Amino acid sequence: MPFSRDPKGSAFFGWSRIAANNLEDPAMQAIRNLLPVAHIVLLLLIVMIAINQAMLAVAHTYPDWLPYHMEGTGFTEDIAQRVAAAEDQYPRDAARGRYLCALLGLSSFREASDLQLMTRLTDDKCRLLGLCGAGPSLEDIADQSASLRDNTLRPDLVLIGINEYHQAKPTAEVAAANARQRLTFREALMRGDVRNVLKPLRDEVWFYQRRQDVSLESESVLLNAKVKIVHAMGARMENPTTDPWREMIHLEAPQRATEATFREQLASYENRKLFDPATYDSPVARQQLDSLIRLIGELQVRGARVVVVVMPEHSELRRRVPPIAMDRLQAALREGLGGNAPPVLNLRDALDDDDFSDISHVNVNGRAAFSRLLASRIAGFLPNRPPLMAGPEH
Amino acid sequence: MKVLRRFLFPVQGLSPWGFYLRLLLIALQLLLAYCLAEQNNPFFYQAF
Repeated sequence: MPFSRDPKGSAFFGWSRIAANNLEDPAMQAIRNLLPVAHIVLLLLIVMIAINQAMLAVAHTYPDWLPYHMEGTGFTEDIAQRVAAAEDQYPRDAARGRYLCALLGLSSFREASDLQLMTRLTDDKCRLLGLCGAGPSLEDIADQSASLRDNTLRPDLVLIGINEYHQAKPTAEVAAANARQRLTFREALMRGDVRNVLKPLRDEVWFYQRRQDVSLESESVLLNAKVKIVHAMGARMENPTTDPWREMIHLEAPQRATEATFREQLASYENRKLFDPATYDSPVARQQLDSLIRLIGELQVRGARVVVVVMPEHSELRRRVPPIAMDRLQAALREGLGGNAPPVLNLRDALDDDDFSDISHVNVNGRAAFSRLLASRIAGFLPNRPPLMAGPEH
Repeated sequence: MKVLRRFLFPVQGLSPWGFYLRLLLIALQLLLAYCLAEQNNPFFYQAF
């Protein structure tokens, strides 16, 4: 594709003239040679922006033209599918004497768990069912794992992984305060804050908006096809996309978040009043603890041994959350459940700061370290009897 | 008008349609590369 070599004929005529007048200058000559490329790249960018705007316009006008975009509630559906598949598959494992251990919690537990590693380290004595979702409060755990309690599945051991500050529940005012703290695009631009300039731009990209946050459909289509072919050939193979024992969803997080992310996260926690001792004496905290106690009670009635795991936290977070949070949690469990109060495995300071991706979620190293640590404790919590579902009635 | 035309159709010997068709193909290839690299299929989501 020949570009116009005549400087006057180029669309970048202004720059080209300057470059043409300084032909003896090699730098200017290099710029002049790059101008046609820059011109095409600019037009390419314009085409991409036009595609993006067209996709956004279609999505705005016809929101249902594409399948449902899973966010948030996707975890509930994911958990329901795991429970249903386990109900179908676990009885065979129970007959072989393998215990069923369910993991309930929010993102801190989900991100910190490597189910395969833990299964291996517990000598395959357990089937680990990962049922952690996402959310800010204890009630989210009960809501998202409702399918487990509505099912015939009877776990022998349930590990509930929480942070002591999950007693707080963000209110509309908190959301408003967080929104107020956010810089506008214009403010960020004026301050030269590249990060906050790029973030809203990125969020306006349709392809980014449609990114998957709980599953990988294209992968699952290929894997389903592979499983069908293997089955057709008479062999047996677990489908990794519907296998109840599959890993929980790990969101993409950097090995180490930037200082700015740390600061923003701390500010957001501050807005949620997680560092204010009064939060843990509020009726909302009481309500959240009641929801945890109810959940534990319901699981115990079904025969499960429940253990509450207090998840590892970055030292800065540990320093800021007032001790009353932990005190209230332990007192509520004692008072609410009496002699049935579950053991509390406090692992808040079990990991180094280097094991964290951000203030409350571990990174890849942290996941391995936590999984090893938890696996070493699981054996001690397993009952001295056959699995609950090993009997003939199951 | 001439300047705008020169800006919008900078390649000689190629029709404007041909030029923009090629640009569109390159843009789609770049977006496809992004989706593959991110393992992100924006058109389908799982349906349990």
